Amino acid sequence: MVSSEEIKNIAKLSNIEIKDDEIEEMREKFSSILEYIKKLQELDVSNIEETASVIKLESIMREDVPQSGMKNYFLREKNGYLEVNKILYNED
Amino acid sequence: MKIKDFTIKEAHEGLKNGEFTSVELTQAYLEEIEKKDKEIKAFITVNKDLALEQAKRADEMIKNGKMTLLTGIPCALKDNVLLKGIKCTAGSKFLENYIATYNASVVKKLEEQGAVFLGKTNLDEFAMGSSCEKSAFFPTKNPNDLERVPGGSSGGSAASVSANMCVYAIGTDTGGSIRQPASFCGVVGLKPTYGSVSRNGIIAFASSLDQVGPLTKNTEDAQIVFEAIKGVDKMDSTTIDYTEEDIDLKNIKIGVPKEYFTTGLDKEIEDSVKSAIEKYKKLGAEIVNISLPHSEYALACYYIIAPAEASSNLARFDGLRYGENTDGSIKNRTEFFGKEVKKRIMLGTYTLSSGYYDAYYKKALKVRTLIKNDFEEAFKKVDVVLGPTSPCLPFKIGEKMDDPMAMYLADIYTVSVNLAGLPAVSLPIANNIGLHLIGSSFKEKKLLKIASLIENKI
Repeated sequence: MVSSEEIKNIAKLSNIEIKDDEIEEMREKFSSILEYIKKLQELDVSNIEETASVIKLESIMREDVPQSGMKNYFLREKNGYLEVNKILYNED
Repeated sequence: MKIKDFTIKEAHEGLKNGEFTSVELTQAYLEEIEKKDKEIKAFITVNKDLALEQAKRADEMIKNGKMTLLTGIPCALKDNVLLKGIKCTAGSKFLENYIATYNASVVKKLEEQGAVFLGKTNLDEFAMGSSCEKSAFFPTKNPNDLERVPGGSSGGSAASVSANMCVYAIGTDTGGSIRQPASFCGVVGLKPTYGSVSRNGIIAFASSLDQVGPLTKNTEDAQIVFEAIKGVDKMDSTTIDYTEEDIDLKNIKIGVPKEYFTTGLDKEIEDSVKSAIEKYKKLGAEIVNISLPHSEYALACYYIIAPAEASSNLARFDGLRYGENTDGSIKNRTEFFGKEVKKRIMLGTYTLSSGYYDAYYKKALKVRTLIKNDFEEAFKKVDVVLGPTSPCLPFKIGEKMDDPMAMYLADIYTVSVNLAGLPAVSLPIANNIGLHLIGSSFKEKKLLKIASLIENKI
């Protein structure tokens, strides 16, 4: 089973805060899934290629023209700039 | 007018012969939603004004002789498909106030044919779930038994088709999200080949697995909608164009994997699937016993790859865009993501993190190759692979909420199809039981034709 410390650390990497009273539940659910996916360790895949996508991906180029409506993603405009909420804080 | 159990073809005939207009048809469906959806709760948004406007336009097209099979036909869209000017929530509090700024490519294609969009249907948050209970807003009920779930994640789309609140619906399928609810609600659900339908304008879950497809009354309708939405799109670099040659329905070979009939399969479902096999035998199809030896690893493989891709796709929800948010990225993510979504983001973050990447993610990509190879071997011998869509019947609302593995096991037969990128259909063969037919890549027409052979004959 993963430890409470690990859960806290994974949450931090995920940009999510896990409250103290949620850790135990998350630990249990997380562990039961991890236990299940460990099943793959039974297989020897040392000579097998990876499949990240089932089709060959090729980049498509298109004209770099502004798309309409993009500004509507944002809530406010100020002096010709898009205004957003503050999302970054110092850790301490 | 009164709503009947219209298929696309039937509604189309009515419109063509002037029995009713698209405005009348649309109004009738809106009334049906008004009447039934208080209880079923398939829709998050009903866009009445837009639907009636589109219906008027469709009537014009019909008058001017510019009618296709989908002109004026009312349909529903899963609420992770962008419809310009209409709220698109993906079942999440994060997008509760987000208004779509453009149309998904699928919507554009349907709109060109004069489709009428009645509304946006409920789903598990960001399409992560198999019951529609993980929607941040409310659970949808199975129209055939209101105490039970409609399946998920496209549960709202399946329920709306099943309850005649639309003629057909659009869903998305990352690990079974079209086929499993289709099976639970007694409708047809097609997950097309990866790359056949554009994902532009679909709120992404796991990009190497996501596909868009129809939920319909029958296989003929599924073919009609699929034809309308498929094709290459410069906005989605994974899309491919292809046409299928005519199909010879003589000497069909149907593969039945021994791995699909082991422990965990409900007896009633097993019996129904076996009687479907008998039907095919009687029609002269050859039943071939096959093996897909890595089937038992598909679900574990899926629950590494899908959360890994999700953790990356959902990084964009940082509080800067998509509607009103509070200050602070972490605060937004903590407050607006539901528990299931957080768990999957964390799972993906974990398997991609340094020290675990090779053991989990990289390994899963290799197992994915083995699963794909299993199917490639099978399709050298058979035309389609047959099995159950779901190992269990629709469960009661709340029954599997607390046990993540019990819920995930509902997708045991469907996830391998997404890992291999194949097309597959769920065909109703008994009450709330779907037959799962898997085809080889780019052979949707053949797959649906083979499904149609036993349609309504069981």
